[in-house]
Parts: sequence; C-alpha cells; structure tokens
Amino acid sequence: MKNKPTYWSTGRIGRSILLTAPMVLLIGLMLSGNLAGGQSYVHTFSAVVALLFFVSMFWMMIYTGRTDRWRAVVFIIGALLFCISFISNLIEVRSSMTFSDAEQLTCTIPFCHIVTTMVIIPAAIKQTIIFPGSLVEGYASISSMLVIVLGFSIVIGRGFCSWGCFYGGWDDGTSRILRRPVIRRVNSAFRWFAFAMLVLMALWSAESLSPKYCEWLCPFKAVTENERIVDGVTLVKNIVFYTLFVVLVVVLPLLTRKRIQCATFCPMGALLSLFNKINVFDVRHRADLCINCGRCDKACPMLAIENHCPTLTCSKCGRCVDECPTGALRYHVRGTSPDRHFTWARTLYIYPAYIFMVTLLGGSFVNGLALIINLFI
Amino acid sequence: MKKIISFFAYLWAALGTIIILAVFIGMGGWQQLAMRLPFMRIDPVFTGGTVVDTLQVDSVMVLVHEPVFPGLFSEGDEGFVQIDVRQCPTDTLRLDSLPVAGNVIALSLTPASAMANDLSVTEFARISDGWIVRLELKKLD
Repeated sequence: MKNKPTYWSTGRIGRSILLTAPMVLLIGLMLSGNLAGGQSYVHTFSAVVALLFFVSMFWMMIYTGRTDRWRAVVFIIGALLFCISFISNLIEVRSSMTFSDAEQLTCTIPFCHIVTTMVIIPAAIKQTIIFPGSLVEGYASISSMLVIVLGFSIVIGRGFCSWGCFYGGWDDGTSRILRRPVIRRVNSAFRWFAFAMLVLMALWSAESLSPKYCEWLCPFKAVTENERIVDGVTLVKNIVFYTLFVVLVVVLPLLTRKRIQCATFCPMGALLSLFNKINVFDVRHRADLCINCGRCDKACPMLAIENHCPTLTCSKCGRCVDECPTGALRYHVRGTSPDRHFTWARTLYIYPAYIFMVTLLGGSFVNGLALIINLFI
Repeated sequence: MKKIISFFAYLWAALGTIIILAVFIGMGGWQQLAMRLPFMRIDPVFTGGTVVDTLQVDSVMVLVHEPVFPGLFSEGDEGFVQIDVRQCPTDTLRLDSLPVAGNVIALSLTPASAMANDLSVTEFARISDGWIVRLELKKLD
C-alpha cells in the first residue's frame, strides 16, 4: 500500500484551489452563452447551478486524487440531461421525437458522431457524405461534428467515450446500479466485436450509400430520435432499437457492471481506439508495483485490461487507476518516464478531458436542468 | 536525449488543453475550413441532386432535379428523379395533374438513355410549402 501514488494536491486545499482556479474561468467561458443576460431567470439559474456543479466536481477530482468517481457523476447526469434537452428541442422544432420522410428529404436530421464511421468509405471514393443532414447550419451540423470528433480525438483519443460521448453516460450509469455483478466473468475478447461492427457497418453503409447502423441498429435511437412508424419496416426498426437499448444499455451493463454497448457494439468506439495509437496520453502499467490482485480487470468497464495492462480500447475513464491499491496503474504522457511526474501527467490529461466534457455536455446540461425546473414551477 | 523527448512530450500534452479550447472557440472558422474539403457535400441520394429545371405553372413552382443513379464506384442501373413541388399548400397531390408528369420529366433528363418508369413513386413527403416526390428511373440498355 505504501506505493500508492499520492497526487501532490491530494488533501491539500490550497493547492487544489490553485489547480481548480483556471478551470473556473474555462468553465465560465464554456457556459458564457448560458450565463449571459437576456435569458430567462430559470435558464440563468440553471447555468449558475451547472457552473457550480462542474467546478465542484473538478475540485473533488483534484482534491481527492480520484478521477473516475467524480467524472462518472458529471458524465452520467450529463447524458441524462442531454437526452432530455435533445428530445425537448425536437418536440419544439418538429412537435415529435420521431422524424419522417420529409426531414430526411430536406436533409435536416442532426448528425451524430457515430455516423462518422459510416461516411468514411463513400467520402474517400465518391467524395460525398451519405447522411441526410445539414453541412453547416442547424443543430449538430455535419461540419461541426466532424471538427469535434477529429479535434478532440487527437487530444484525448478514446477518452472521447468516457469524457464526452453523450450516449456513454447511459450504460456507464446502468453498469453502476448493482454493487456486485450478477454475471461475474465477461470474456474481454468480446471487445473485438466492436471492430467487427466497425468494418461491417462501414462496408454495408458504403455498399448501400446509407448509414445502416443509424437506420437499423443504434440503441440510442430509443432515447433521442427515431423513424416515425408508418409501415412494417419502420415498426421492425423501432422494435430493434428499443430491444437493443434494453439489452445492451440496461440489462447487460446492470448484470455485468460493464459498459457492454460501448465496449462491444459501438463502431465509433472501435474507430476511436485507433486514435489511442497516436494519442499522447495513456494509462501505464508498472509491473514492478503490480501485486496481481486483479482489481483492475474486474473494475474496467470497457473490457480493456488484459493481464493487468490497459490495451488499445482503453477509454481512460480512470476507474482502474482509482481501484489499483498500489498505484501500478497511472495516467502517463507517452515519451516520459512513468516513474516521475505522474501527477503532472494526470493533471495534464484531466484538464483537456474535463474541458471537452463541459464543452459537449454543458449546454444541454443547462437546458435539461432548466426544463426540469420549469416542470415544477 | 530522454530529457528532450520528455520535454516535447509534456509540451504536446500541455498543448492538448489549448487545442481543445481552440476547437471550441474557433468552431466557426474550423467549420469553414472543413467545408473546403472535397468530400464535404451531401450525397445526391439524400439531396436529390442538382436542380436542372424550374417551372412555374400558375401559382405552383416545380423544381426538377437531375436524375440520380446511386452507386459507390459508378452509376447503378436504377435510380430516381426528384421533383420539388413548391407553393402548393394542398393536402393531396395528384401527380398526373402536374405539369411535370411524363414529357416534362423526359425533357429534363439530360442523358436520353434514362426514362421514367410509368411515374412510379418511390418516395414522397409533405414539406412546409409543398411536396417532394421521387420517381423511379431505370437506365435503358
């Protein structure tokens, strides 16, 4: 136990405040649009609550030296409020959370980052985007989402899945409901299924020139938007969406305490794993400190640990780092010694990762919170 | 050497925060930059393709798009032509009563090798000020 790394700000209020102070300004900047005048009192109040919440969670992350515990709180609440905000926005714009042929033919469907996996081949061969969305204007335009995916993945790699993906919070949340897993062993080889999904979806979408994962398999259609049921085909699609959501996002994560949808089914997760190869941050295993207790294997929600070492599919959530009793697992900057300055490495990682999380979830967090408050007043 | 590599590694890691901020703050500029990429256009399968003819008959405006024959490497044998019927607030649309039917579509099809297949409708949708209709096309040998 004596080797467990002690982050230099841990338990020290002054240093924690010093490290948190820049984040207060940055979060304020991210939420500036919501904090500015001209909004309703409820909206401004929600923005202030969001600011205090984000800052306090970051402060706890710095003060306690634990990453995953506080990240997960923001991530899960953010995902829930994102869906509330997204659905209410759809209802406001088109009076329904379903879309019809009209929205598809007028190219007004919001672009989600998972579609990126399906547009790559046609973009390379045909030089077109196979999605009925808007290139620049409107909510979640194609250009903005592509910039977000590329820009943020370069910096945090597959950290995208644990720090910003507005879907990931769902199965992260359900995987934490039970204290002990009902299904104790899940073969980590299942994570390669996500790569098979990536290849299959990329090829199928290219062949048919339409985003097949979105059309047929995305479980998160159940909590965002889905196709209006007008015939047998759309009925089957909706049954598939809701079934996959219940099985992959609720039941299996609940029973296994693993993020089954993200780890084994999401093609975007597989694509982002490849960004881990070019990413400067990773989680490093120090064999000399490892006591082979296996806590990291059990804790990892992404099935990414093999022989106590994080692998390509690590989403840098920090759970193994928090769980490791000897500090054998730690955040690390590639090209540097894992023995020295590990607290710097962690701080250097959680800064951009947390800003990314606030950037992606902050706006919908405020809107979702304002909607809930409005329900009660 | 190790120290130099470490220095640049930490520098690159520290730049991460600046890159994330730059992505967020400069989103408008990055979007404009992204729009210059050669693949940044929606596939005609979804947009219906370029409008090649515009007709105004009474109060109704009809936009006829170029024929689209979807295919990854080359054009397929089957496709569609999209017709936007604008300024047409009626709740029903009779295709055969429209000036676009038959001859107009045939005239607008640039390659004479394509023909409309008995005006069989593959997709149609009501939009705010009219209708969007897609008619099935088959390439002639």
